Parts: sequence; structure tokens; C-alpha cells
Amino acid sequence: MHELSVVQNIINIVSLELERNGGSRVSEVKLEIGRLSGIEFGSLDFALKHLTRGSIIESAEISVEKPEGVARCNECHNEFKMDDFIGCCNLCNSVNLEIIKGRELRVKSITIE
Amino acid sequence: MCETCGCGKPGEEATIRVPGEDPENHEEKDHRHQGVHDHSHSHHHGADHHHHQSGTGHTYDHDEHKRKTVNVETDILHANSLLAERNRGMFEAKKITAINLMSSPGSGKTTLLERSINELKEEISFSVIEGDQQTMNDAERIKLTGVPVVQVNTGSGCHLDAEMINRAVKKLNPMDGSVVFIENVGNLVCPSLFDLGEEQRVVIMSVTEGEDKPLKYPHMFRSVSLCILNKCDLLPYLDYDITKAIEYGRQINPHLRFIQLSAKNGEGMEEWYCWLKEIMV
Repeated sequence: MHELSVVQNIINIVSLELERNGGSRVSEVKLEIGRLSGIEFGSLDFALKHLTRGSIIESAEISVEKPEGVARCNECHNEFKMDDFIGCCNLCNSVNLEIIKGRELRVKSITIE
Repeated sequence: MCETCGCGKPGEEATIRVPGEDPENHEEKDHRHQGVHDHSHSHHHGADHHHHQSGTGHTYDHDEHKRKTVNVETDILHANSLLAERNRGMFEAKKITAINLMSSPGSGKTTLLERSINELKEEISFSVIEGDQQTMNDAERIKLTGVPVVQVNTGSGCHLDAEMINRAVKKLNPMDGSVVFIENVGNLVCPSLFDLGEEQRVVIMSVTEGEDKPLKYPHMFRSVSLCILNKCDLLPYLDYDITKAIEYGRQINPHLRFIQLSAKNGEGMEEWYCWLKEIMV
């Protein structure tokens, strides 16, 4: 359940930004969490719902952008969609792949009032 | 949760102690404002502020209701990564080889460490950080080998993080040029995501588990450079297919190296020792 740590880190990052920018409340938090980031979205939803009580993002609208996974073949440089870690290049069948998208785990923006 | 700013970890704070230490009286139990929990809120956030990996700090003002959108663009595990880099720098400066050992519970991590330490301690200085949710049991076992050990109890936490290692290393004070084994909490999911500042990440899979562990826990098997197949002395009694396990592992991580051994009867340990000495150079 590392999603709990993830949510705690989100709260810490937002707290710091609120302090830096002034304002009294956070109305919106936009997250970007890739489909290959290792986050289980069901657990994340649970943690966002229950762990944010009493925190500065309790009443904020939280949206999660979930980029698809994209791999690049290290043999033929083909780039293709990949939604799990098992697979090979759809052109040359190589398994020597690099994940270039889908591992995002970031706070993109917040809206403060 | 910390009343100063609302920060803190879910559940209990991790405790760090050496075997024999009174659990009620150690300073590590305090909520310390350091490392990941840096309460740097009051310092100046000038133009040269580098807290953010890629943050532009750009803001949009909305005239209506004085709303403001701030582009944060900060990695959620950034605080852990920063502290992991500090740990890495400290290990490098002291020429310490730190190895993060991860596996399911019961794969034989502690037995592997006990045998390795007992057989190599005359030529290599070791120390050990043990990670478990509860108990001092593993630290007590390592203590019998005679090398320094600290136990991190994560409470409700399911993994070690860079801050716990930072605190544990300060308590352990490992010798220059030594090897620090970090035995992570038995779990193939969460530890894969947290950089501790280690030089090498190793997963241990025992042959009493299923061959398809790499397919079930791909994040873990992608994050490591070596997979130790332990309990190989039991192979004659099992249907375990080693070729299949290696094939699955390489589907997830084509560069993954495998070493087959038995920490119980010592078979195959020599190859593990060779690997260890190679990475120490």
C-alpha cells in the first residue's frame, strides 16, 4: 500500500506550494500518474478519499491524468504503446525495450484561492 | 500526524534501534524534523530555490475570485529521491557498497546474509540494516554473526524509504570501504518504487515460490540487476522449472543476471561472493 506514502507526499508538496504562493485554500489539484508507474489506481482513490481528511486538500477537486505506456525498442528504435511490462517490439520482436512514457508520478498543478 | 504542518507518515513513525536497546528510551522515536520532513517552510524561496526537479513555478492569475493556478510539475517521490541521492553521496565518499535486498517474506534473505557474513567477514567488513514491520528477531540473528546491525521497524509501513536509511546509517556508522546490506521489508510490491541510495538492487526468489513471480511483480524485477534463486537444495522435491523462471525474468528485464544457490547447504554461494567482490571494485 505505498499509495498511502504517495498521498502523504502529495499533501506535503501542495502544503509547500500553498505557503510559497500565499492563499488560504486549495481548490484543485491536478496529478499525472502513468499506467506503468506502479500505482494501483483503486488503492490511490481509496487513499485520496480517506487520507486527505483534515488536510489542506480535503475539499480540493483532485483530477488524475493517466498517460498510457509507450516503449522504445533499443534495437530498431520503433516506438509503440505498451500497457504492461511484458511484451516485445511489434516490428522486430526484440525484448530489449525502454519505457519512455507511462511512469509519470507527479503533481502537475494546483489552484489556490 | 505532525501538528506543525500536517505532514507525517500514515500510521506509526519508524523506529530504529540496535539489539538490546530499550525501546522506550531511544531518541529515534521522536518525530524529527529533518531529511524528508525538512521543515524548511520558513526559509526564503528566492530565485535560486532548487526544490523542484522540473518545476517552472509559473503561475496564472485568474481575476475572478482571486484564483491562481500554479504549475507545480514536481515528482511525487522527489523528496525521497533527493534524500536517496544524499545517501548515495555519503556511501560513495566512504567507499561503501550498499546493497538493497528485496523479496517476498520467507525467501531466505536473513539466512543468506548470515551465511555470507560468517564466510566472508575475515576479508570484508559488513554491517546490516534490517527492515521489518515489527520485532527485533532478524537483527538478533545478525548480531550473532558479530557484525554491527540496526533494526528499522516500519510499524504500519510496507517498505523502507530513504529517510529511514539516512537515520539508520547515522546510528550504524559503517566503516569506510565496507559493505552495507539493507534487508528490505518482505514485499515484492512497494519497495520497488523507493530509491534508498543503494548501489545495487537485488531480488531473492526461492524455488518454493511460483516460477511466474517476475510476471506477477514486474516493477520489482525491472528495478533490480541480480536475481538470486535460493533454496536450490529443495529442487529434487519440487516441480519448479528454473529455465521457465529465468525466461520469465528476462521477459521483464532482459539484462537480469541469475545466481542459483542454497544458503542452507552452501551450494552456489561462491558465485554470489564473486559477484559481491566484483561490484566492490
